[in-house]
Amino acid sequence: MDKNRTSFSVVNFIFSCLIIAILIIVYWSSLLVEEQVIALKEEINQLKTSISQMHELNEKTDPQETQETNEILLSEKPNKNGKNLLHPDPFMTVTLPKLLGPHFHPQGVIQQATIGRPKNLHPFSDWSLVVGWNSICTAGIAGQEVGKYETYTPDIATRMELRTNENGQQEYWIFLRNDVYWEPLNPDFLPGIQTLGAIFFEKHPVTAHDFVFYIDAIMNPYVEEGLAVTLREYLNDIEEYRALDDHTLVVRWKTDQVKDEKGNTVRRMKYMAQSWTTGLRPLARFVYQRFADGSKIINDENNPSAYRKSPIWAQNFAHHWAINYIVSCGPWLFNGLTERQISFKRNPNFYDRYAALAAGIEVGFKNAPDAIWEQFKSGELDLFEIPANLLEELDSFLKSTPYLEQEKQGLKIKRLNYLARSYIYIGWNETKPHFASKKVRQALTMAIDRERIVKFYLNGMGMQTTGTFFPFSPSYDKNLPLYPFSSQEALNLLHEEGWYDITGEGILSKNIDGKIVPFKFTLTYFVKNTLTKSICEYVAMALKKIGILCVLNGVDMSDLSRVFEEKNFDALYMGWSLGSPPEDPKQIWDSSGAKEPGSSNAIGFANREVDEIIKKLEYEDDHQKRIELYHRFDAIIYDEAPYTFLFAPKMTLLYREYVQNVFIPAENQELIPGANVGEPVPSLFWIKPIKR
Amino acid sequence: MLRYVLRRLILLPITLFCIVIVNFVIINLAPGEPTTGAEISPEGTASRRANRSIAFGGDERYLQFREFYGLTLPIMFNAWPFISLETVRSNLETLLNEKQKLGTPAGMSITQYNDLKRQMGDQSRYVMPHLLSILNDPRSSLDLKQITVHFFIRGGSRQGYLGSNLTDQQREWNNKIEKDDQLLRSFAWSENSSVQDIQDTIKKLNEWYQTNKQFYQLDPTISEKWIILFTQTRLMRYLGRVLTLDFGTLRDDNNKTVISEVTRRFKYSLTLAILPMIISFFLCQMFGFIMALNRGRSADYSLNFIFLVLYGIPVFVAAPFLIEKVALHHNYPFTSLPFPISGFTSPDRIYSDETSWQRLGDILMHITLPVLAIMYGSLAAESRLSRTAVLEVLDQDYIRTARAKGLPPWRIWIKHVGRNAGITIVTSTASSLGVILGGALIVETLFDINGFGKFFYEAVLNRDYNVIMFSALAGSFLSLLGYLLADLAYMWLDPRITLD
Repeated sequence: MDKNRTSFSVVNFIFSCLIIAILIIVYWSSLLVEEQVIALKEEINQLKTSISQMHELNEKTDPQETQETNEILLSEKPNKNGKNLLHPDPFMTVTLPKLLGPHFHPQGVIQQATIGRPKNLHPFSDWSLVVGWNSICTAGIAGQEVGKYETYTPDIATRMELRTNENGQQEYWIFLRNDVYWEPLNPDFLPGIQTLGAIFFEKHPVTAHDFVFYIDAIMNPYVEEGLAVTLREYLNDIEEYRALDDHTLVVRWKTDQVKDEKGNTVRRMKYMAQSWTTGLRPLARFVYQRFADGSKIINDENNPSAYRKSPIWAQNFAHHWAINYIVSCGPWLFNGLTERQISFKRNPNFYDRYAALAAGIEVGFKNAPDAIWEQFKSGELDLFEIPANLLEELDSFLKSTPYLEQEKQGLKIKRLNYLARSYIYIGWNETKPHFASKKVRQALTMAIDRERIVKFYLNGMGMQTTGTFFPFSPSYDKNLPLYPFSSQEALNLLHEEGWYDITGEGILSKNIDGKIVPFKFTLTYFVKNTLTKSICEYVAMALKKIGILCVLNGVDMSDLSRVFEEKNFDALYMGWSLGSPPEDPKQIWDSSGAKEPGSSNAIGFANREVDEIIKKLEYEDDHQKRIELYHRFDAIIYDEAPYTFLFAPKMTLLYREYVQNVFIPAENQELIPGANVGEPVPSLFWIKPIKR
Repeated sequence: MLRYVLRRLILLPITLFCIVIVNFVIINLAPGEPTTGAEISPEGTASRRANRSIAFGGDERYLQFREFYGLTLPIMFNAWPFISLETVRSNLETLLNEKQKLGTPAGMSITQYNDLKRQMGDQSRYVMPHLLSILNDPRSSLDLKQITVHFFIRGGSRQGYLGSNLTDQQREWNNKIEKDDQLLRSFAWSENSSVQDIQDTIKKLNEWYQTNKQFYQLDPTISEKWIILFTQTRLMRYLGRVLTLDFGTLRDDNNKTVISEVTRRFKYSLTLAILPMIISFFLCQMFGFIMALNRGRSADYSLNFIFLVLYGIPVFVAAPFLIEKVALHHNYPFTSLPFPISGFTSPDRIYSDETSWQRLGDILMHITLPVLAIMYGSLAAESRLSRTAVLEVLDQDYIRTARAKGLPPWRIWIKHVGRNAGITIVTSTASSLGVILGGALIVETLFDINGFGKFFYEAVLNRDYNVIMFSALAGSFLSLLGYLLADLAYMWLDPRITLD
């Protein structure tokens, strides 16, 4: 019995060993296969890189030659006598190639991070980062010279002319390149889509019809995406647009009767019309007109206005299957969106080899600046815009041993300070009796020590401003002095307006309609920002000193939005992000929006002269006169003090030493003569290889 | 026992239904809607863009979005078809008169005005006959007619079916509403329209109404009104979908279903919930024994002290400490492998090139600190709990009997003490099954791991109703299941307990 049991155990043991051995061998062989597959993948990638390098070497020609080729590429011969409104950028065509040298090859992946993850990548999403990503993955009619405002350089259009048609109306004729393509879609980046139509696996040329489709989509009243709604307000002024053929687009804007310099009545289109025309972008018809299986969303045959009017298409567009994909035709190609990052890779087929100077870009999604800061410190990120509150930590990190170790490995941190294109203000609701008088508003401004805010709360990372324009813009009047900080002067102004400490309790009051009304108001602000909270607390304290009771009302973003749109506040602490010149002050300052719910003129500002200036600016095309109008506008805003302009934040861009071309154009006149842009240009960044 | 389990299982859907109702009402009554929200600048400041403005149109704002998610319907009961003509007229007149006084002390606040406009817009579908009566009433002023036409158009417009896999009937519906919506929109008149134009438009509106009232159910009968009262509500719409196990899609991407997104995150949360649970279960048993067997000695005191301190450290202090002092610029002991500071794996670019062993190593390296951060608190608490349980069991008569019988100590500890002391720990562990879904929000956020906690938290901020409801539903389901499992485990661990 025992013998049997022993032999059974031995057999059992041998079998078990055999099974384990077989399993090990199977795993080992699968491991070998796996390793080989990975090696194969690497080789294919290397091969791809080599092919793209060879492709670029073949295409290397001098700029003049390229320009000639461009002319040949045009489908319709342009009017050679007509003036081309687009001019090549000397920096991009001459200076940059010299700076980079003949052996330059884009490489490395620029690693960045941002706070929050976009909801989707819809082409009309109004999330500012999505707008930026969509724009680097597509190309517009025209670009802007590096470092110079209000300049127009060829992009998809090589030529843009202002022609007069047979009815005497002026229209823009735009001639497009025929070597720009929509890249095929990558099904790996479209999870959840089971069957993708064959049409999406082909390249498609970018044509004038894609621009027409873009305008159609914006003008469709059922399209509700934020950017489309905003652009619709501007593009409503387009009277007619048509594609003459695949590469010729004609756009005519509405005109209005205005008086010219000699006092004659003439018809003119708005000054911004040219800028808006150059800003038109293509929208991929082959994707957004179709379902994932390749069939058309609506029947558009014999119906040229189908996409301009159809509610069914608009509904499908809002929930489009490619909502998390950026259909690319620009210098960068969308390379996937995951929960933690979005990636782009350089488009080797893009006509301008200097439009993208790295092999890729990766943008990680983080929850807070601290998380990005930790990653930057560990060397995982190449760039980081450090908030003012982390600057002290930066100083101590730069002295730490781990950093000194990093420095030896070529990971030195460099910093670049520049003024952000935004400003922070306190807006006084002029419909409220307390803030109806400009003297009161001026007094409130004088009672707040803005220098202290910049110095103590921002660690010096801010600049006091006097007006609504970006200080580097020519529209900003630098001659206006800052309001002084003086509690006494503020009190004097308030006394002039009848505000006295009547009750003797240290609170200013005024007799309004027989009632003693104390100077008490609520300051609404975004509660989740600690800096905002500290500054608002200081403001309340400073106003208390002159006898004004400022009650703080910290709210969340949705409530802040609601309060702003419904004008349901006394005073509001907020910021404006600014666009680039030419500025259009209509949105914030025109009296037409003063009573309109949801308008950006939330404080109810109304001034007849300002309205006139805004009207004149719409049609004035003389540069000098425009500047005069802007400066007069500045002076009125300064005097009316509808906002207390607290500061324009200064940004500190931290970057590792190997990131090249990080400079401010306005401060590098030797590179870009006449440059007036005061921020670094991310499209110029490239990675210098280092040995770690 | 079977009867008990069956009884519990039958009670489960009833309990879940009640939970769904309560949650649904709370979520829908909470201030704000999915359409509210704005952008925060990278510096965390609230800001807007000066070259962009946001359309603001009261009842038409984000209409497509609200229609798509059923937010234009009332929450529990739809009594709108029962609204009288007088009420409709009075509301329209209020909207008309208050527009002039908007924002002034004498008038309504903009908030109240917009709420009324939005409510009127949502109700318009159910009061179309009244709107038409007002339009046909010669006593109605032109201004009143203009605002009535606005709501008539709104009430007559419908949503299409989305996607390409439509039935013929759905396609037909889409074609119909495509034509009708565009036609209705063309009926809106401007301030410059002549009286003749307006009369013509009203005539066309009447014609349209007569032609379509049957198709769109614009004039429901009394019985239909009662059906609408209970059926055309947000709750019924939601329940209708949940009963077919359709939990909907994400609010920002309707290609992604809630289920698929939850499944995708399951591996993260399961690892971060189950792994620490298992490790701490065994460790706490071990420490519980050590402390109990060394009661009153230095080992007991020192472990007790350490666990007390650990228990007192909040996770939002411990996690940044681990990142800043342990992970940053340090390597795993005795290796040159740096501690990863965030993520569940290395970046996709690196991870996709790794072999399966390397991937396993990669994940283990990434989750060491998060697991530690999740585990230390519960380990401390449960070790102290285990100590008490072991001490309690050690004093029992049957242990004394087992010792007297001469059983070896390890057998007593494992078979008699361990099993009985385990009941306490199992209760606390099993009932926290629902926690899997809750995720470890703080740890996930700090270590940048995309698990359930972060997913559901963001859904709350984003007012993604489908995800919030799913989390409540699934969380409740898991909790209830956990309690059932705990009851069964009692029975298995303690033969004295029966469930009959």
